[in-house]
Amino acid sequence: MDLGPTARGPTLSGCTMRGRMARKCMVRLFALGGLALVFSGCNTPETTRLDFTTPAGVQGTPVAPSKSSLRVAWLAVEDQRLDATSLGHIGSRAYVAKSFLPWLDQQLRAVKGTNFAEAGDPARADLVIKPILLKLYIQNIEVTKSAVVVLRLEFSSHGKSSGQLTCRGQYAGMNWWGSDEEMAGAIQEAFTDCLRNISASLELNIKLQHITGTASGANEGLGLN
Amino acid sequence: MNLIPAQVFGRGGSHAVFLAAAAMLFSGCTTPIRVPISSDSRTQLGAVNGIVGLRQQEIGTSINRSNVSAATGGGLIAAIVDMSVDNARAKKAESAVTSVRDALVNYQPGNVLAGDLQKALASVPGVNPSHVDVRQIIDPKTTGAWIQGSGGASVLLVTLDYKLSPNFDSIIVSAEVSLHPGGDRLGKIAQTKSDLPPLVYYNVLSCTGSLPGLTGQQTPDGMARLWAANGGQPARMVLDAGLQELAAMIAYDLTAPAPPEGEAYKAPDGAEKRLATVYGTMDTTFQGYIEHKADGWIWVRLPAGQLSAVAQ
Repeated sequence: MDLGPTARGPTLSGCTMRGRMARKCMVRLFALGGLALVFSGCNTPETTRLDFTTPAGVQGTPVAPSKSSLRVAWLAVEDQRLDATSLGHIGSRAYVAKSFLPWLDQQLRAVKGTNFAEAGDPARADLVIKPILLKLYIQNIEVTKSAVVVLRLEFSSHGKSSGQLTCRGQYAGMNWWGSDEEMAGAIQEAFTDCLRNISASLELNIKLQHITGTASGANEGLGLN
Repeated sequence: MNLIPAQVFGRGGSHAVFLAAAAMLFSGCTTPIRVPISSDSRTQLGAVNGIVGLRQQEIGTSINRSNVSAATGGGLIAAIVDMSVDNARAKKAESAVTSVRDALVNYQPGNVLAGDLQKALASVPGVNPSHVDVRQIIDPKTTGAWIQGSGGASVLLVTLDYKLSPNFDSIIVSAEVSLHPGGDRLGKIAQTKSDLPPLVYYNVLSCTGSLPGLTGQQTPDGMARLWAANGGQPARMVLDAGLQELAAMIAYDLTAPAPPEGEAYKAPDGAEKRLATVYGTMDTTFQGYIEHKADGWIWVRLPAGQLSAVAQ
């Protein structure tokens, strides 16, 4: 960093660099430089690519499916967002992620419940679930970061459509550092919340036979969160 | 600067210089933001492509910022209190908005505005796009790349933003609109603004709509329930009306003349004055004058040329 001439004359900080004044000015300039460095991350328009590798699985006591549990098969996630890479913006910093759908597929297949178990092959499943990614973004409201994920699950039972659920996951918290890890962590928290909601909704709706094609109103969007 | 005697501020007069620089910096508040386009220039644009760009995927929220720092004269503790209060308000708003977002999960404001723009611009000579695309803004370079890749056609870029007011009592739709000449056309008169490619028109327009007959006595949670009722029908109604009005404002502003030299957006004699807000990184309220009244809307021209509509 060029601190400018150490000779006499007014400088940008408004002081004359002679003797003690010069030292004072240097300290001031270093302080300003330091502050500028600290805050530069907030204003630099950059694009950051986030990678999803950590499992976002729902925490808690492991559940074992009962003997009478429904065999569920998950199809690959379909991304219906306007752009498949954008993850939103925090200030002037943009976030993107590529090829994370296989990761999401993996997370959904790991969702467990007492009323359902993974069947693997859709042909042998009682219930086939087609997940559709509707929203996935991170944004800021002043000093707060907010991550949101919305998935629609379309159900079919023995070849017949049997309803759909829209599940949302979200996380909001103070933006402390604006680091990539912090943003990726916020999105993971939103995914965890969404998976928890999916698990709870599946448990409830399978129990009530709302999405197995046996109850009335099975083709309506249940929209549980 | 004669009003600032040098002996008051130090021998070198450096503080006076600093104050003068600060004054110059803040004088930018009255510098026109609007770049008007003449009818002559409009007719030279050639083919025009319309693009509605969105940075967001769902309706946004906003908060009333805590003001402890300003009230107490600043300081670290006050700043920490402000941040803590702002964070609590933002988290509350993001939680309360969930029902509205769920109700609007299939609503596509970009497509609605694209349709409205196509209709509104049909009557604007020279700026009548054959199609209006809707695209996601991925990063700061995205819009520039769209304009560079337009294949010699001029581009009307409308960057749309929509959000709930801090009390959830109104929905604000706003747009940053710029017109970029294609090829070498109008290169001599094109201007640069922020990080956008050369442009011949620029303005910021907004439209604030609310539910008719609303008393403003509801909490944000109560308001969210009202917006989300009947599958979000009230929110869709206000958004549809706001986007339609925004398209009409864009069409109007593309033909509105530049103000007389040296009288940048000064209220004409007898014009009714009114406060209106400019929405952006920081929402700011200014006094402007009423330029147009029709169909239940009032259009306010602000000192820097922005156009803001509020329901009558």
